[in-house]
Amino acid sequence: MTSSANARRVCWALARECRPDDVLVVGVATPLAAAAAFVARELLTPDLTVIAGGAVDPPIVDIADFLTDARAIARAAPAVLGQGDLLDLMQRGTITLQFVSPAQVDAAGAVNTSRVRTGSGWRRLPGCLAIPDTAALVGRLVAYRVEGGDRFVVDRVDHVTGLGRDDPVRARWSLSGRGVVAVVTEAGRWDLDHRGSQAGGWTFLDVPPPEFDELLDRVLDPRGVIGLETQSDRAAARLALARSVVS
Amino acid sequence: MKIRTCSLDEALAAVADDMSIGLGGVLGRRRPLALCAGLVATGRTGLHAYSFLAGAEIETLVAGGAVASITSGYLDPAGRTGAADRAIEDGRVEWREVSEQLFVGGLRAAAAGLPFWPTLGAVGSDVAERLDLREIRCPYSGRPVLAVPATPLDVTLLHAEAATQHGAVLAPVEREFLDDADVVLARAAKQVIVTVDRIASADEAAGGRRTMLAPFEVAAVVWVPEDGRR
Repeated sequence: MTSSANARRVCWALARECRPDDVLVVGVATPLAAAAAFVARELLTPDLTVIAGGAVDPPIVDIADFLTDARAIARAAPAVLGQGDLLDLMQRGTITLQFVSPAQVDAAGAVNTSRVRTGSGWRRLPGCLAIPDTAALVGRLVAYRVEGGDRFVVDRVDHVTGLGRDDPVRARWSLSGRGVVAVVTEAGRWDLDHRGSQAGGWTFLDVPPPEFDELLDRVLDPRGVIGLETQSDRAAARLALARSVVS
Repeated sequence: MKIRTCSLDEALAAVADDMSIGLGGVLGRRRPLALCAGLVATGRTGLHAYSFLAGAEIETLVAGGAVASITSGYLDPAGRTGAADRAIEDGRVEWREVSEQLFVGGLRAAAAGLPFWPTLGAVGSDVAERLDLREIRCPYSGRPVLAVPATPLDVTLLHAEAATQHGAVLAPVEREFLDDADVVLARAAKQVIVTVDRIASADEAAGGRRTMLAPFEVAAVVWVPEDGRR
C-alpha cells in the first residue's frame, strides 16, 4: 500500500524545514518524521546530519525496518550514540532541529503531550518523553500532525509539556532552543514568527515532486507505515507493519 | 572471585516492600519480566518503580498489585493490558511524569553520590512545576539552572543477553536503543539483579570491551529460560 496524499504532503513539508547545517534527531515512534529526515538528506540538503534512534548518519532504510528493530539502522551507521550522549548534546545546544507530534500546540508555541481536559476531568496521554527538554533546548521545533482536526491547534494548551515561545523566560535561562517555529498540518504551514502577517502566517503546502514519491514508495516506505501517524491510514499501516515483522 | 549466580527466589530476597526499584529495558527488549513476575508471585507491595519507557514490566507489577508509584516519561501503549492505566486513573498508583533530562539527571546524581543534578531540561514546563523542582544559580556565573534531586534506588532489575558467573554483565553484541540507560539505572542503585539468557565464559568478558557492568557492581545473576527474556 502507499500512504495518503495528506501524509505525503506533510512529510515533504517537514523535509523542507531542514537546513544543510542542521543536526536533526528522529525517534523510533514517529515514522513520518523519520521519513522526512531521509527525504531531506537524499533530495534537498545532503549535508544534513540525521540521528535516528541514536544512529548517526545512517544509510537510508525502509522505515518499517527501523520501527520494528532500531538495530537495523544502527548496524550500518558510522556512529551510534547512547541516550546519555544525546541528552548531553541536546543540553549543549548541538541538536538544532526536531519534528514533534504533540496532542496540542497553541499560538504561543507551547505543546502538550501529557494530558488533555475532558468533560469530567483529565485524560492522561502516554507521556512527555523528552518534549519538555527539546522545547527548551533544541534549536527549532516543528510541530506536525496529519488529520489532527480542531483539537490539534488550540488557543491554549491544556497542559504545558513543552515551553512556548516565551522569549523572556528563554533569555533569563539562556536556553539554546527557540521552541516551536512552525506548525505543519495537511491544511498548511503556520509560521509562528509571522503570525501578524497576511493570512496570519499560514501558507498552503506544496505538492511533493515525482522524485519524492519515487523515493518514498521504492525505498523508504514501500509498505506505507508513515500512515501510522494518519487517522485514516492507521489500520492499514498497522497491518503492513505486522506483516513486515512476520516476514 | 565471588560467585554471583543464584536462583530467582534467592535474588529477589533482596527486594522488600516499599523499596524503590529501577527497571531496565525498553520497548520489547531487555525487560526483566521474570524478576517482575517473581516479585508479584511473592506478594511484594508498595514498590516505587522507575523506568525510562515503562511497558510490559510495569503492567506485570501493577496487575499483581506490587506498585505504589511509577516514575517515567512514557507508559508504552503497545501491547498493554490497561492495568497501569486503570490503576493510575483510580488513584491506586501514583503517576510521576518526568522528562528524559530529569529522569537521567536524577539517576546520574545518585550514581555520582551527589544530592542533585543541574539541568536546563524541562525549564518552563508544567512537568517541572508539578515536580516542584527548585531553581538554583551557578555560584560562578550566576546562571540559573534547575536542580533535579538525586533518585537513589534500592534495587535495579535488568535483563541482559549474558553475564559471567562472577557478575560481569555483557553489553548487547549490537548497539541497542537505550542500552546505556540500563547502566545508569544500575549505578543509581544499591543493588543490581540481572537475569540473563546464558552464562558467559570468563574469556568473553576478558579485556572488558563488551562489559557494561563490572562484577562488583552486581549482586546476583540469574539464568532464566527463554520465556523470561525481554
